Amino acid sequence: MEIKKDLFSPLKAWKYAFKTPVSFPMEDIKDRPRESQDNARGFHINDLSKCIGCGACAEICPTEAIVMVKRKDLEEKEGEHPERPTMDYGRCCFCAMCVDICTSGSLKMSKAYVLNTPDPQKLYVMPEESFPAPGGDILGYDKTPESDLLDLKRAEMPAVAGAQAKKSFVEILKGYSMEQARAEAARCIGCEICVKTCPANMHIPEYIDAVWQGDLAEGLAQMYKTNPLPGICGSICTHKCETVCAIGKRGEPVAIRWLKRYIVDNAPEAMYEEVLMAPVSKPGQGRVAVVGGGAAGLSASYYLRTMGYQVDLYEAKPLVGGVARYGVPAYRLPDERLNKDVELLEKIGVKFLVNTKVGQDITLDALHDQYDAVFLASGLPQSRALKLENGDHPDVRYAMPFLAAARDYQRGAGEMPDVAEKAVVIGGGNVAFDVARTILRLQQKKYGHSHVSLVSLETRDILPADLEEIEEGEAEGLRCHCGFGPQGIELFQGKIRGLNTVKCLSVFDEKRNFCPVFDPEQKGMIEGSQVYVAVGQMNEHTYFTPEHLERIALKGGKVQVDDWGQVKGAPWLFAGGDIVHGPDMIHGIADGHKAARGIDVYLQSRSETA
Amino acid sequence: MSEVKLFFGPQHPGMHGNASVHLYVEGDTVKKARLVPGMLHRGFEKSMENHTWMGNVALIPRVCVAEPDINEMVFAQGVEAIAEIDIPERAHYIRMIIMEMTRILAHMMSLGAISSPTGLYTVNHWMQADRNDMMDIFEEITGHRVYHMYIVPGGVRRELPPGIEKRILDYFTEFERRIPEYQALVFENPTILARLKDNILLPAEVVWELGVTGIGMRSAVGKPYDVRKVTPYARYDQVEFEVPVATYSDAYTRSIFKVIEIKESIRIIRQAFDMMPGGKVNVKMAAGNALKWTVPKGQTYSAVESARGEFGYYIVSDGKTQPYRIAVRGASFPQGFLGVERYMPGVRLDDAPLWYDTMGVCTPEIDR
Amino acid sequence: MTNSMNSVKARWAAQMRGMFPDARLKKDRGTEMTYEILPRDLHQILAYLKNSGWRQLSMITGVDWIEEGQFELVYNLFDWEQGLRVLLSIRIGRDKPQVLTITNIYAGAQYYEREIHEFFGIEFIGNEDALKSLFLERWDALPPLRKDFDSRAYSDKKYVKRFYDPVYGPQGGAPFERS
Repeated sequence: MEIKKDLFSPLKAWKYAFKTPVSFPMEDIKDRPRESQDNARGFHINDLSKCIGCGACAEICPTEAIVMVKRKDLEEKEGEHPERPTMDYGRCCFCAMCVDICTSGSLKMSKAYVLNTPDPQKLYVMPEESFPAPGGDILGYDKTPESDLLDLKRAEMPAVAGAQAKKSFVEILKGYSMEQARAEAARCIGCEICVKTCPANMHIPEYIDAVWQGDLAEGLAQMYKTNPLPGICGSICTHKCETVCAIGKRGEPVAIRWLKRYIVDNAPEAMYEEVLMAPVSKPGQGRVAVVGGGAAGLSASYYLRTMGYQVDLYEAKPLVGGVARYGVPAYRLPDERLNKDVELLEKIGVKFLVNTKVGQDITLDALHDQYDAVFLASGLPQSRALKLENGDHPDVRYAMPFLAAARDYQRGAGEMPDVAEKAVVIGGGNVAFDVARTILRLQQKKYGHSHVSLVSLETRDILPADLEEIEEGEAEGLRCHCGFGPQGIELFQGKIRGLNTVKCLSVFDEKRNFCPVFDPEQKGMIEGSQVYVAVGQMNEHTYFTPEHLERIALKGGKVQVDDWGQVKGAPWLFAGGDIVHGPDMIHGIADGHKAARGIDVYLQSRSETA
Repeated sequence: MSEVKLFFGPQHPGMHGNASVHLYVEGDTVKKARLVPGMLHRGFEKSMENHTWMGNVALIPRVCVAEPDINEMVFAQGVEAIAEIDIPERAHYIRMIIMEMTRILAHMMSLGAISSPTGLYTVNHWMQADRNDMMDIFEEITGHRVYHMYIVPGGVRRELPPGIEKRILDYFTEFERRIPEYQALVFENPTILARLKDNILLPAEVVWELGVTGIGMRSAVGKPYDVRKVTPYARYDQVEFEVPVATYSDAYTRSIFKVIEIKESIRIIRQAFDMMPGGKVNVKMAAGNALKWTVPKGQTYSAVESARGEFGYYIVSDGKTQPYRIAVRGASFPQGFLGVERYMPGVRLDDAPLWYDTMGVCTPEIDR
Repeated sequence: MTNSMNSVKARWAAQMRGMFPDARLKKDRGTEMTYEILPRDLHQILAYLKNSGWRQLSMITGVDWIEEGQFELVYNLFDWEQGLRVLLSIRIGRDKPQVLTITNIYAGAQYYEREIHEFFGIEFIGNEDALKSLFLERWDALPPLRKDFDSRAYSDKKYVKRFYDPVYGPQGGAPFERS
């Protein structure tokens, strides 16, 4: 390069002496600072009403500047923690990873960047909708889909396609492989919002973490701390946990239920023995009778037995399992997984007395005499009736007996229920879909084709059934008529021709009470020569004698109990599950666990006073 | 004549970062010199072991203040090498644009820094004003002016904002107009030339002895030993650019090379914008959320060409959510320590800051 | 990497195998080859490499494999002409770790060795300078890059922690409770 030495060339700079300076006046810097560029990572702003207090921001913060702080003005409620993030700007490095990982999308950054104070206390701030500094009300940095630090998509669950699925009762969801399970588990941020919502308060983050670490034994131990039926729950739990999952705020919730199933499916027999059998002692003092072999009864039996009591479980049917055994079809929950749960109970010494119906084969008072305490969890074995014109026709069937018969047939313990070529199912819950999809399969087997219509009051978007039930059902060819009310059954020559319907305008009133409104003008008929009713279940309190009922309170058919399941008016009697809280598997399991602790306290206090 | 001990830094206008060179001076000739670091030591390498892979992205840019993105780049490249991640094509081009913009920032900083040893502060004021506009561009792209945290394992953190191409290219059009003014101010200035020309020589033997890289090496050995050319990363093998070389390395050559490199960087940026394909800008480096990202077991050394030479990280992963070990090769480590010790003696006292500056010593990357 | 370079590399790798049968090629990443070698071969190999084009020592670094009771030292060499990097890894025992200096081959190693001595406590025989402290003045604990040095415990012990309460809350009040 040629070098020019010109004594005057530096003086060219002088021309800038007469131009406007590019620098900023000092006096503006504090109060009227220049506005930042778009996307500037300034001080945080947080929409406190949207924030769910999951703490992901605090978890990822590389400088530990974020501390979750409990707010006294927020109540403890489902789906959120009453905590909100506070930022220590003495530590914060403005990396915005908190913004990128925010589950609810409430946390953002403003354009404010001037906060001038000699007091370090003033740098510790709980951000709100705007930041008290110049530019604090202008949005700066917000996440974009590519900067998101959460994984919003579920690991895909291998499943049998609809057309193939309806040809048999083989389980549809194949279960996660190890890689899929670990990838799914890695989506969890461990916020514990699900734990609060789960009726059994299962240690969800712990067992998900165990899956992620590849430590199945730890996962198994964590599950059994609060739930002795993880196999059943892993298949058919109503997964309230997933409904509130923080990841579900913007994406697909973590597949908590499937991860639970992954542990059960993959934990070998020996691991069960090592992790779960070892801590169980031989039966000591105290005998407890459990009435009903459903989820609540099995759960109570497990915990009572691990507490050292001798447990006898009375079951009216030939097999224990309750709804899991006699309601839910095998394509959702195969017997093998159910057996895995039940066998453990047998191994630890719970005695099953099957084909024994309390109130018929043995009285409740006899149990009272023979045992120190009785846990009542007989469930809701009856279908609720529906008043319809011609509803007493023999081809009107009810869900519970039908499902039980179909399930017996699936395990080779009974005849194939007689299904017609065309059938109509009334109901919009999971049970209705179970019935409809079971009929589909039976028709397929019997006739080589299928034709099932499902009629529900609710429109598709508010159907009480799980979305996967609806989607799978539709894929299998189920005809859903959502938003119609059943009026009556149309007969022709003594046989059912179809179900008359009217359009349902709304199901609930403003107060969310059940109060369907119909439009009598919009009529229709849905063809079918059998009608199945699946509009709810009922209990069967045949074991209560009039003397019992004088002391025991029933409210709307539900047994009234205290927090620990102790029946009001009969201290020796505990109750739980569907007869107390209505139909819900995981609630039953939680009731069983609580009642076990309640019985333990009751028996301990009794032995102290004796 | 008696020997006097002087502290050049940590508080000295000619010192970059808070280090101190202890000078033993006789008359105005340096007889002995030692770099004494530690004032700026932040324990980065230990700290990196205690941060998640993503959390490290917030930490590592701080290793070098003037040129933070090289840290993000070597870290991201190293992680991608170990985890065998292929990143989207577009991300490579965005990375090149960012890397070249930072190179320009760093060169402007060090050219501006000539001002303090030579007493011409106008250079620094100009350079800082022009840097300011470029940092605004960075703020729009990445959210921050200095520590961008933009290049992440798997690509870049987010898409370029709309309209940024025009803003960047307009900036460089204006900046190119300014370059002759800088040249007139600095390189045609007899007082500065007197200080730079034939002063503070760096012979090729010394380059090899110390392990000097970057401009120092290329101006002495006469070969285009630039990591971008020798082992091209990102898409440097797809763009055309020249690497200035010389066989006589004095303070002047090393300084004027920075101007040439700035021009070449602008050339690369223009080509990158032309060649940049559309599509995604990143892939997730692992399954799940950032708290649970892991990198498979393995180790690698990842290097880039920084404004001062070969800058690299040696990264070891043991398969967990945090690095097992990261070692930083500060580009100016060789000349900063052994260079100061062996070759600063002999220069005049007033040239000591100029030696430090034109040898490209950056304290924060040495004392990390 | 072009084909001709690949063949040069292959030829060189074969030569390396012939001369140093104990050197194990651990990983080949195209332009970066990692060899695990025995400490006693280190100087032989370095001298050979330096004369074969690897004129630059990029860095030396240590890794503490505490569970295996070993330190790993990685010598990082670069050949600017071929664009080929060689990482030589040696393992030494963790108690009283000692290794011979390489400053006689690569003068630039002097301060890398000194840094490693300071951060890992590895002694470099023949490099007296390396025994002096460099970054950490009056350090009073384990060499800090050892895995058994817990930086948080150290800082908790050494410095006083300060606690603050958040001030800016709804309506300027502070209905918070530190959890």
